Amino acid sequence: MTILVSGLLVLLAFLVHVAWWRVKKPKAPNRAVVLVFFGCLVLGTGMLVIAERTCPALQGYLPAGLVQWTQVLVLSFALAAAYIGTYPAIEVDSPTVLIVDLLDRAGPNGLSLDEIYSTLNDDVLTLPRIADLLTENLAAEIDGKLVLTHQGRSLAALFMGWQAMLRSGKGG
Amino acid sequence: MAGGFDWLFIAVAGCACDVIVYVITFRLSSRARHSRALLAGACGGLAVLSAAAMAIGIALQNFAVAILVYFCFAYTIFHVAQMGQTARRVRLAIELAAAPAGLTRSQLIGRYNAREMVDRRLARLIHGGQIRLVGSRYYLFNSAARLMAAIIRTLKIILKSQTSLPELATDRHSPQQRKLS
Repeated sequence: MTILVSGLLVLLAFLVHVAWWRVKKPKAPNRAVVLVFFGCLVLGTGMLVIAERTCPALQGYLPAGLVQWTQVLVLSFALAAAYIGTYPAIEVDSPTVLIVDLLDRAGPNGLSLDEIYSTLNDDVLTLPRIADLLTENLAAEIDGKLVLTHQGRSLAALFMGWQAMLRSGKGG
Repeated sequence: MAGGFDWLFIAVAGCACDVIVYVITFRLSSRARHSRALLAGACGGLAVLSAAAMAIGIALQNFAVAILVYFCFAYTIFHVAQMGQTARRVRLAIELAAAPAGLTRSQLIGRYNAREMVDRRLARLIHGGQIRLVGSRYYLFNSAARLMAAIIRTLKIILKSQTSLPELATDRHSPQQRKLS
């Protein structure tokens, strides 16, 4: 029962997410997708708990007790986190997916490196991501120069720490 | 045991083991570090979770919840680890962090640009067997990669996310090419 209720809550949150995006995609979509999922899950769980307590007809069809409701919350948050982790690959054009798409479309002719470079250039791959940093308030533009905001510095510090722990390169 | 929250403790133990094994395997590997570390972390975490579940004699439903939570977490760790290695925004932010006085767009592109992005990904795709370089041309080799691209395209259609990919003259899916073939 807890698994079914968790799945339904996440599905509901996903439908709200799709409906919102189809009406008007938010300006800061990464932040919005986190808000919509966790907001829907917290609200949805709260409403179901109240329904289970106040409506005897629903008892037996819904989870009961602190342990089961905690399972619902934790599992639905985990499912939501899995989708939110996938979302950036859907929201932006992943270069890997673009390369695979390009090669799929080229078919048996394949593509040369120059053809790939000329199609996947800075206008397609780099400038939109720089624009995202500004839109998501991770960077600001001051006198023609890009500087990190406090949020951007926190993000950079987090991943630099992660890369230092792994002893890996800068990535990208 | 643990007031009925044993499933949560074993899920957390499995997730913690996943991260620890991932970091250790990544540091010790010289090749295919990311994929080896992900696999080792996922297996290690699952082993710890299963062993803990057997040791405490957890109820089947609680074990099922713990396993699902663990898999979602392992999948999320895959994406977070992937972001740390491949996300362009993360790399751009790191380049800006190294220049507190700020960088112009040209300066930032000078440090990290489309060519480096393409070169890195081509190398990964060749190493992973998804594409091949024959002579001087690249070809798609793996149908799983094609399936992944199709799933992403479908989700983009559902969410009405536009792609910025320009049309190719050699696009075999274009109406002109379909007429010729």
